[in-house]
Amino acid sequence: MALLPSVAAGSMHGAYVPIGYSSLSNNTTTVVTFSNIPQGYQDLMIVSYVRQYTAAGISFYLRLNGNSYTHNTVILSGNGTGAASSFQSGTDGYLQVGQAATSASTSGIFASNTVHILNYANTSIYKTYLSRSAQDLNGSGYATARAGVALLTSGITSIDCVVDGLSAIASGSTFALYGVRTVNQ
Amino acid sequence: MSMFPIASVTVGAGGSGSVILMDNIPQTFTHLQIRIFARGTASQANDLIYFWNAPSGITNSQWHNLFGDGSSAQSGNGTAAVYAGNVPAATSTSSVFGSIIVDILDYSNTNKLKTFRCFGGFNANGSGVTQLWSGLWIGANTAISSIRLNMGAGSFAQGTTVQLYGIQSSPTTGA
Repeated sequence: MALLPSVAAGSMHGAYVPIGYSSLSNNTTTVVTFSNIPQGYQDLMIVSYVRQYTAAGISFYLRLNGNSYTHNTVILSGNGTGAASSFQSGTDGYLQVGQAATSASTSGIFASNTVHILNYANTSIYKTYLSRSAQDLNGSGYATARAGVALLTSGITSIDCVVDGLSAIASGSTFALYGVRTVNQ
Repeated sequence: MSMFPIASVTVGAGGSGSVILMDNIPQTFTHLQIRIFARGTASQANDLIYFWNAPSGITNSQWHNLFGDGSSAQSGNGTAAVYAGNVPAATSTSSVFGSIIVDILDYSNTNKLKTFRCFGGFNANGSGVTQLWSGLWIGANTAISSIRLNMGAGSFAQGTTVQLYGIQSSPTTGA
């Protein structure tokens, strides 16, 4: 997906600079990719509003730089009756960063996620992310927070957004990428 | 609502000691946000960052938290400190840092006690925490003009960054 034109951090007001945006109008897309991400910001923030079209899963994932790498996430979640914590790990590079409303949920329901990746352009540290998610399915649902690590040291230049099983994402899902400026950026 | 960068701190080689200070904070914003990317140098798995007000610290305070460590969700509370959250320290996997985002609403209001809202965590590839902290600085209804972050043990490690932002509300809606 092309980045928004004329994005220059120094010429824009405010710390949040919109870099890319995608709103799906079909039920066939399986991956939304932000590529050629500028390396001149302090942090990245990804805001998504997601629903699965075919899968029964409930998760939303990001893959960084199109790579496979080891990753691990500690999840804190509440489902209306209790709170729990668990790990999610793998080596395929798909970070479980949030929720996606299952295809069986009431029409019009989407899950919302905000993901922060601090120091995304640093080439000497592993990438850490924080995320908060809300998925309310009108009678059931989850509120979740996550902290995860990707054992990847390169700067983040592309991000793939997918759902469970790399299956189709529902029309109406939206994905927004922001750069977060600091002073002198 | 717009957010503007105010200050940036990067810890270089040799570390910064156990304190990061940001002072002369403008009083012209509505809220503050602090974005912390940190690691400690103490010989332990994780360390705790807390706020400090010279010379005696923040002693008259309350905190509550909710956190998950991968096996259970827990909650706690206490007094005598305002915490930002945990970050990895020297015995955690190298090159792993913790992230914490702190919001301080109405920081310049002189008629309100100050509340801190913190969301953070880290994952040292199989161990770590995801956590929410709230903090109340009782008796401090003065405007916040400086922020001092302390590492509980040891120092802030090289590569630690702290960014301070001011958040401006809409003059029309207040949003």
